[in-house]
Amino acid sequence: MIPKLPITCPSCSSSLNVSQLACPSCSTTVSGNFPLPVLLRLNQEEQDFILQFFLTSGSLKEMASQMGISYPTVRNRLDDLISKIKQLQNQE
Amino acid sequence: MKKLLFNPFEKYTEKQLFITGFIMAALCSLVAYYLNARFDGILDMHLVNDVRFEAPFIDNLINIVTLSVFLFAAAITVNKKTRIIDILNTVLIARIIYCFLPIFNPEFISPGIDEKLLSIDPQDPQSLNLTALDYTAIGITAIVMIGALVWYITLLYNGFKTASNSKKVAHTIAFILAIIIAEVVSSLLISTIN
Repeated sequence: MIPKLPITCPSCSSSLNVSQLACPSCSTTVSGNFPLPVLLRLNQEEQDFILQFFLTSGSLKEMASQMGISYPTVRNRLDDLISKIKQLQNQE
Repeated sequence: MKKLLFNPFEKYTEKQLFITGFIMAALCSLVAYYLNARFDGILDMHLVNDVRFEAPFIDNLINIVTLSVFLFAAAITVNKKTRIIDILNTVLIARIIYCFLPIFNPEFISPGIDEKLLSIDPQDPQSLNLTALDYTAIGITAIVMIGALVWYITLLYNGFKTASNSKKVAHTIAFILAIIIAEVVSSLLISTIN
């Protein structure tokens, strides 16, 4: 099982920052305070949606058929995601 | 199952919805002809004495076109990306409910009830002599009709929401206004043309 990257604080629900990165082969660690990029601040389902959008070359019709939902439902999800990303960008 | 009954627009493709809706609209008109029903408005269904063969077909055509036009006008103000096919499918699928309404005629449960109700003397309503079966027939019909109307509006609203991605109260008001205007216009058109 791949552990899910936590993006919000379990205590106050604010966005989390990265404070440490580690090299898996030599265990070198880098510390600091790095904000998460916009795409990583989306939840897993939203990230999967964007990945699928990319893999289908942006064809909403193909996505709808792969996901087993209707075209307007896919388009609505995309529109909602665009608004969410715009909102996150404005917060930066 | 809940999705299929109340919001099939989220799952099924426009082709599946259109073919189902179109076939059911034709069948619905045929059922209406055999059971003497008229759809004289987007929200109406009345049982009459005699129906010309083409009348329910024209009724349905006017209702579908009028409702689609006004709902599309409301949807386009909400979201410019709304497609006419999604609104048309919403109307076609929602109107499937009207196929079954002519079957719920109180006359089938209590023969002779129509005569009794039509012979009411407005000066003396107490003279109406209804039996327990008559009251049961009226009660069952009323419950079915109200339930069907709620289901119809729910389908229209869910289809409208899916087609236009509407979320705000103002969008719901636009939907309600579209329904009211479509009802008035369709009733006028049907009474004039058909």
